[in-house]
Amino acid sequence: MVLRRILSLVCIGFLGNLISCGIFSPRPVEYPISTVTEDPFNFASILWNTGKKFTKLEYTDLFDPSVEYIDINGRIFYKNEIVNHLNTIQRRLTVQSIVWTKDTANPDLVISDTTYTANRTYSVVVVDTLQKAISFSDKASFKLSFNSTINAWTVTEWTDKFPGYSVFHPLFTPQ
Amino acid sequence: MKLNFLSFWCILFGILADIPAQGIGWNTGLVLPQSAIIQDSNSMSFGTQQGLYIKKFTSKDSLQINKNTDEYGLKQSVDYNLTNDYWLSSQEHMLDLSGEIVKKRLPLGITCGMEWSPVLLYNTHSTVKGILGSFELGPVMRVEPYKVPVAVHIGGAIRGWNDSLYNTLSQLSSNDLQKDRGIYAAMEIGRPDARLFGLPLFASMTGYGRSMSTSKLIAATGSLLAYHALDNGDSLFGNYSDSLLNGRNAFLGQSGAKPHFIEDPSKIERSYQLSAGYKGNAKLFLEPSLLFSYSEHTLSYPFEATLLSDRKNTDFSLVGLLSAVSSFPISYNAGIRIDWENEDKLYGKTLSTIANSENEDSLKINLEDYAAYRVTMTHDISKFLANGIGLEYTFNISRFTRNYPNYYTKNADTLRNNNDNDLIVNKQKLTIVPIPSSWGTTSLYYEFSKNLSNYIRKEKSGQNTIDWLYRLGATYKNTVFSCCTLSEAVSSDAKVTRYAFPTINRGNPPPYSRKLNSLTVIDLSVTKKAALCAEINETYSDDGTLNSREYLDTIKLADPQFMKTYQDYYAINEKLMMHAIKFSVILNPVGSWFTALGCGYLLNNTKTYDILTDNYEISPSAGSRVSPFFKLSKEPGKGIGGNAEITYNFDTHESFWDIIISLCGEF
Repeated sequence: MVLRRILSLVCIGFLGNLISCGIFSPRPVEYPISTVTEDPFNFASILWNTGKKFTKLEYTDLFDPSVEYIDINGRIFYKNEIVNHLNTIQRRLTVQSIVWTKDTANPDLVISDTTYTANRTYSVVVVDTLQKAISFSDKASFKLSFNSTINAWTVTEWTDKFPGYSVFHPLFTPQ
Repeated sequence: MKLNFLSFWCILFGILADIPAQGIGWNTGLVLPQSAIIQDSNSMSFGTQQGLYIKKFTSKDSLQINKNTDEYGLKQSVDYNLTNDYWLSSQEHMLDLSGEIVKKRLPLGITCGMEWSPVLLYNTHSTVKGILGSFELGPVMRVEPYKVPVAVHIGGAIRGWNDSLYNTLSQLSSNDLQKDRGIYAAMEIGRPDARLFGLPLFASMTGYGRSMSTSKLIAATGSLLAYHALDNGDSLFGNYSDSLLNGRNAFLGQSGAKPHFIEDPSKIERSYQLSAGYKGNAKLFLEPSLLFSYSEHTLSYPFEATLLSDRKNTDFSLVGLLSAVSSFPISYNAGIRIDWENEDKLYGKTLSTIANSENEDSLKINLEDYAAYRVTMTHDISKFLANGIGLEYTFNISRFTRNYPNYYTKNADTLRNNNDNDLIVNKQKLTIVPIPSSWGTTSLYYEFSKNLSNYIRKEKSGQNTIDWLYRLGATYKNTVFSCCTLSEAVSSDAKVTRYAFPTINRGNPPPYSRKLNSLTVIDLSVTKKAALCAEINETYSDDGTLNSREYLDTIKLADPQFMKTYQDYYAINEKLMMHAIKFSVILNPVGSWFTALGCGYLLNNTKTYDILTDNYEISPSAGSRVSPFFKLSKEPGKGIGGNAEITYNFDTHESFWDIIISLCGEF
């Protein structure tokens, strides 16, 4: 009996405290300095004219935690390696132009409402620190899935058909 | 017991990956277990499931034989799984022939015998094949001292594999295989569903160890559940569960859709949870419950200094539940759950806050450490009269707060994770049943949801949004002319998003979307053994952006002529019109046999706005599909049961089969 009384009091006191201390209220927010999301590789254009849109372009959100980059030899690289590499080339190179277009030979594949495969050809020109322009062109395939937690499409697999190391290949070393 | 490495893995990883449920409710670890169903001591059962969807064929076949006498027991199973992906030109085969034979009634009540577990994996790709065969063989002993079941397994294991075969399987010779051998030992004590010494105490423990030259590991799981009923009707529960894996695994897997012998890095993974609960007897008209639990999951790679994947997750939770007794005139259920969560990457390592070339990778990973706080509250209140008229109101609110405390300095810059955020979700739903159930099953509902997504720091707070979702719907179902059932469900949605700082998002107006849906189903019983069914589903949805003037870019804002005529508008990027209709004839010719024959038609008329033509163009995903189908099913009863569903989809883009055939039986 004593135990029940104590527990009842604990419950009531606990709930009363919780409700009165604003546990469901947001914290104060700092006034923003900028919101421009950089997309130097124009990933947004991969989904142009498909009725879908990458609403989160920052690499943390754009690439699913299980994402795999697969090169022409079937070698696999994971999210950390992909993101680190993209950040590195973004720092060291200047993207002069990049175009993603639909691969007419391989139409996109709608697997389900939340799974989509986008087949693209790409053409990218980057300028290195020696002001030398390097161009890469080939085909790539992106498996995408809709992540309902962040309410955004994410890349789950990126297959690059470029023979050797394209600018996107995690082993490509910029000058 | 079938304890080969495949099944053991499934069990162990299931336990290690057991993340505490975030729902509000009684903890599943504090539920008294029901006694397991005792299998027929002499039986033969089989099951088969074949499926083909687009270009992927899957097959699962199993046969289990149990033979028991007072003196002997025999178990033999055959499991065969096949996945054939025509799209990736790959196949995966798995054959498992595990079994055991035991002699019972030996002195001291011992049961003793031999167990075997041959497993064959064969994976192919268009250019390369991989094969792995393993065989475990050893004695097994079971005994029940003081009615506590104890089983001991020990034996030898041999394995051979090759993941780079370019020849056919018939050309494979022993020299092509890499080989590995070792020993295994396992022990099980207690059963999770059996009382210990007749007390309200349930305990079980499993241990497994294997030493092979490519992989050495030990693994253990255990759980203890205690229960005590007080004289006043209240009850107390306590549970402790623990699991540990130390070592490495090696198996034939896939990498880039090609066979690959994968040797996992050596790791130590432990997961434990301590929980307790109090379930109160009804007081006045309310039944209270209180729970707490603490769980910890650690993962470390002691011999992989470069892997940087060590982490530790903890979660302390408190749950309070309250529900009205069934005799109270109003139904009421409420609950609150609070979790304090932590993730500590590279735990146990002390890192400087000043970056250098050696520690910067670790410091970057350490920035992802977080402390989180999650609180969820729900209230559900309803009142329905005996004739079915009534209403129900549900209120849910949750807050998820995350802080990233770590930082480091590099070249006089302080770097930190700016993802500190608050997610607050408030959902409410009101359902009204306005007419008596004798007039038909009817409900009207209104749903409202407000989601607030706030980043705290100035670097990301420009992305802060508030979403509102409004949903209005109605359902109706009634039988007319005694042989016709008509049902209708309609709903309409609108989702509005607003940025917390519109001026920061100039030129980037927020999303807006709408949806209307109607589903009509007509069932017509022609005779006692034949019925007709029609389903008509109509959907309209669109999404785009709400272009209000607060999101105009500064160039347009500076143009007085433009601003004078500007009106806020909804810019639709995509319009979807979906028409689906399905007719079927359902027959019940004999007993438990059912068959259905019909055809579905789907028209997807999606249009996307094309900025170049300033018009809506047909989207690549638009098209139509005609899907004739045939279904046949027989309820299992005591003999053979099965189900077959065969559909062929004539699709504008690519036609494909969708086939599922399953059969099971027990003799």
